[in-house]
Amino acid sequence: MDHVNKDDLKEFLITLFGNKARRWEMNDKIFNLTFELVAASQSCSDAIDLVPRPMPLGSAPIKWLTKEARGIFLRKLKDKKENYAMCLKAAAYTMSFKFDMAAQGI
Amino acid sequence: MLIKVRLLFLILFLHSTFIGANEFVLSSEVSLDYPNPVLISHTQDSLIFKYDGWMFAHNVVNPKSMYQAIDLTGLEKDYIQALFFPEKINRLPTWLGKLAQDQSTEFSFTNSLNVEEGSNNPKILAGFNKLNGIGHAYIFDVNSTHHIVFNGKKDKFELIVKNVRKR
Repeated sequence: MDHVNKDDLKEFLITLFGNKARRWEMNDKIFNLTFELVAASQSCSDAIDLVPRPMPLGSAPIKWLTKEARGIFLRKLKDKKENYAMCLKAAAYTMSFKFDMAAQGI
Repeated sequence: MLIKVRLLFLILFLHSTFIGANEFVLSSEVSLDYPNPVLISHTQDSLIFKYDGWMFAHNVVNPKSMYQAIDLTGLEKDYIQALFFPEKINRLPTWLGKLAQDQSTEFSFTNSLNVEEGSNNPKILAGFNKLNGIGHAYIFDVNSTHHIVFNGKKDKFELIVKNVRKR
């Protein structure tokens, strides 16, 4: 991820998880978890609709998404962060520990 | 016969406790016995215990930060109860009932492991989703509510819950 990608991702995750996300290093694991979180949601699917499918089974999104698709996905999350944060609240709470672990590099 | 009885007790004991357990003090009232982890990691608000193939993390429920932009102060215990007992959702304010419904759906527990308060243990509400291997347990302490999130096999989750005790 380039700096713009990382900034977009962090801005979205701060809206979703609060201040603790400010300390997180925006690494590949964090991106993959964010993608997984949004992709699994039934009510926030429009961000995923921009991503080409079918997704290869077992492959990390950071690897197979083109740089352009990754940028569009993250920009959309940032631009509509309040909307996504609202519909992803429950899923984010369930998965919060995975983000904590990814941010710690464990 | 005596040997068989002793063996049976030993087997039951081994299935309800960890060998060489350490004490994790959650508060002056409650502790958790846990086996030696591969590593322990401290984040801003939780303590993570990582093992080979499973993990659990502990945090104290903070009603102001459980969800962003929602303050559950004063409602957190009722809210948590509603996650385990759907009939209690109707007793919550409408907006919170909707969130409890969403969270219950998200948890999708396939197994419940609720424990009433006893002389040796606090009240615990716990659920496990065997499809994703994620379990959540809420321990109702005198002055706070503890949250344990777990990822791994159900038998390990049950052991963690059973090893919460009063001090």
